[in-house]
Amino acid sequence: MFFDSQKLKTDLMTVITKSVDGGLSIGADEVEVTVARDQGLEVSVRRGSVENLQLSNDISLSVTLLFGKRKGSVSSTNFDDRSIKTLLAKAKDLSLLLQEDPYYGLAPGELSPQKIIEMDLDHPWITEPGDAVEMALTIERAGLSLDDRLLKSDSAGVSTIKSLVGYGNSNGFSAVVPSSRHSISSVFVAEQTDGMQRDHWYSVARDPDELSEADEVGREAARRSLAKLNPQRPDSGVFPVLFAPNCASSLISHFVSAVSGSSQFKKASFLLNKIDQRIFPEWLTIMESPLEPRSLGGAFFDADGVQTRNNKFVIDGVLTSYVLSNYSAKRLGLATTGNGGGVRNLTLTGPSFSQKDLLRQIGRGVLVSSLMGQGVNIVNGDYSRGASGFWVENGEISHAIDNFTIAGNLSEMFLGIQAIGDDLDKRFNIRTPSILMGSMAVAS
Amino acid sequence: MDSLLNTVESELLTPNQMSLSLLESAIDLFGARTIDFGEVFVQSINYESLSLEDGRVKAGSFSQNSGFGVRAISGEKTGFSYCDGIDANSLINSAKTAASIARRGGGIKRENYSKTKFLPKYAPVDPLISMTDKQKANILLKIDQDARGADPRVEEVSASLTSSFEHMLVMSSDGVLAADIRPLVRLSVSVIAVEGNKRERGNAGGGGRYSLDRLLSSESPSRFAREAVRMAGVNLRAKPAPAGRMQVVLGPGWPGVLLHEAVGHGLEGDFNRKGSSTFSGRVGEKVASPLCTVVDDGTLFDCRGSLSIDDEGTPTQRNTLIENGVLKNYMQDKLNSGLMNVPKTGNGRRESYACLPMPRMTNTFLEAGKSDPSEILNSMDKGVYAVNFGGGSVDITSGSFVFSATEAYFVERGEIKYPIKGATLTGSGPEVMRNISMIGNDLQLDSGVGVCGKQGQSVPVGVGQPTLKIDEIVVGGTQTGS
Repeated sequence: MFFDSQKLKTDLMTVITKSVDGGLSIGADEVEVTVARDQGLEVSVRRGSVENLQLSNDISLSVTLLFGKRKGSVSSTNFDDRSIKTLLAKAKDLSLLLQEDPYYGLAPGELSPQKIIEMDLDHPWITEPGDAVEMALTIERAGLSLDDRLLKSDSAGVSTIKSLVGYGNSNGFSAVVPSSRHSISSVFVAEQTDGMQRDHWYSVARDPDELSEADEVGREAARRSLAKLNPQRPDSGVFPVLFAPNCASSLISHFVSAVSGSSQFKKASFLLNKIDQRIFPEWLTIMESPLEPRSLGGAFFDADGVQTRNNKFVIDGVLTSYVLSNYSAKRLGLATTGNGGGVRNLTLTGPSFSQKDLLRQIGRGVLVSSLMGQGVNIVNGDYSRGASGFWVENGEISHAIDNFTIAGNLSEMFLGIQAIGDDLDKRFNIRTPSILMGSMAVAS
Repeated sequence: MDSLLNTVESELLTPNQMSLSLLESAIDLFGARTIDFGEVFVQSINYESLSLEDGRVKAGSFSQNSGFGVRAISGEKTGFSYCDGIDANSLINSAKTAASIARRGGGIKRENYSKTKFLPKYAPVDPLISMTDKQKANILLKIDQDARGADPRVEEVSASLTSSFEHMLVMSSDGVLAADIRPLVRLSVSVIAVEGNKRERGNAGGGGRYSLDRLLSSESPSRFAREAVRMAGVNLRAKPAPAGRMQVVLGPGWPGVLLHEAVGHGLEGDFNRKGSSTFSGRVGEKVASPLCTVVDDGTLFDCRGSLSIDDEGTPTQRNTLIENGVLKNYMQDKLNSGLMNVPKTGNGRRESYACLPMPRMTNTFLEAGKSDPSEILNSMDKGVYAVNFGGGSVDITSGSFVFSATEAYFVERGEIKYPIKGATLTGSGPEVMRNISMIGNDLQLDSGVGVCGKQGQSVPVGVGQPTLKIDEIVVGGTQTGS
């Protein structure tokens, strides 16, 4: 059912070469090309039978041409010869219309990888829809077994995607990287007389051997939905707030936005010019490990064709580096950190505590297990989001709470982190454990 | 209509050595299985974006995407296969794959195809070529000039102009053969103003389903520039927002995000068929204050959320969702209307050929009431007057929703005291809708910037409302106990 990676790899290399050569032949000074080919199988079941069976087939080609310091970017879902030709002509028209930017230009060739690094990202899994359906049914049954009176399955799913992503530029670097991504997931609705609650759980990995057990995913989704039943409103006031790992990850994503090169040169950041200043507690470190084999964010070159490396952005609470692409680095007069396209496998570390310990440290306060809404202002750091989770009383989880907001300012919140958990969640590109915030305004 | 279909055929099928009869034969392949409904959807979208930064128009992108999706429905089961690119072999293979959802035998009941008749809700113009590239760039430069000229505190200006031009064709076993040509344009302006060590952003923008020259020949570009600068200026003066339950008055237009989140999503047919929405099984019940009549209307001419036909070929219509506080109707696509045995409502939408259609909103708004807007503001004891929002989201199962203000004021005894920092408002949909106590006579639709996300699919939508008062809702500021 899936494509033959070896054969297709050669095809994609040919598309890269044709596009680079084609661009140069119509007068471009520099050319950059990205090609991708994906195939996927996704099934979902609901209440004991198949709901959706989906097969996907994606093709994409993006080309950027540079004429001096002018740039045009184009993309298409076709990469036959005729489409490439039309696309290149369009890129030329576009770049000649646009104004110059002295910072445009490819990264120097010596920053690109000198050899291919094997990232071990490609691990085939299920190829037959029937097998995927069986597994999804197992997930659903496992969840329902927790409480078949209160629970309704909303869906259980299995998905597997095979990809080939290629990059090439006119400085001579090109590579095509095969990868896979598999996931299993489950959503339950729990119902009692006073209302319904839903929650989900999932596991995702490059290598199917690293996925959680199917029944574990079903049970966790069911457990979480049941735990949300009968929510109350928390008291309004200022309380310690514990962010569960999934919510903590979003918190650190705001840090990444604020220290990204583009926010810095646009001066659109609450962490403007903070290099060498302390922005987190002194025991906290934030680093990335893009070269970790089999990892979800794994890549040995970035979107600019620059070799990735293990960056440390925060050491002992001090901001040591911005997150820089080739372009944003040039704008700021700095060197790229290999973060074209963003961070990869970013991890927050420090002395950790069990959740039990953290709850004890809270005493009376809030555990946030999900966040809603867009109330985050990266320019000034103002933070106000809808939340649901659990009320903590006497250092223990007391009951579910919802329809409340938590608010503060990210600069103060980051400095005010009290402790972190030992429950690092590796499902995200930004991996965080639970984060305990000393105090935030809770409104309800 | 005939000429529209012919144009779409010659854009999507002919250049790829395809024809309507080939689509028919793909659907006929479903005949070997027990399939209730089969469909082929073919689409191409050209998209262009120009953007300004540092006073220069120096970034631009163009994309050309095309492909098809084949869908087979058997009872509650859906088989779906899509491909980027349009070619006959892939189409036939995809049809076979989609059909594998159902067991062999049985056969499909196929109606004779007839071309769907409808009244177009926008002109089939290509916005990408409606003005020269030079003209487009000049508009962006003018915005930069206007914004910087409006207030010396403006430090950064960015603006972008995007246009897309879509051709779609759908053929299905229920006899539907329909095509549409859809333009969509949007202009966005964002500024950062600085005073001392305070930095604040202001945004504005708008657009719709028409050509760029219409958007740009009007006063709009300068108006958006001034509006963004004004908002940044207001936010430079903003004080911390209060926290807790209080009276809130929402301004007209874009604050209609309230309706989209508090009731809109919960009234989509898929959630209600599955019984997972807080509004499930409640048609005929009182779910909002009797002042409230909520409508979803895909037929408004040239609006961002409008469609002549939905992505299943059903002509869009005006659907009253809530009338005088009573729940009347859900929004439906073919799958869910069929399973719930209710009429289609023209709300079957998909982000592209690569996604399955779902019941989605078009332009969702609250009908005008009788109060004068100033009378509503005057009636406030103490609370928040919010006129601009960033966006919102909802948990349709519990009914909890949030939406975040980007421009709001603290009000005491009917008087605007000072601007406050962006605060998130939160509540349970049905509860907040019951707390609406006054509705203005100033219904407005938003300026045409909305994007709605559901299960990973984004579609353009419109929202709207008159000024309205909510007696009590949670305001998520930082000033507790004030």
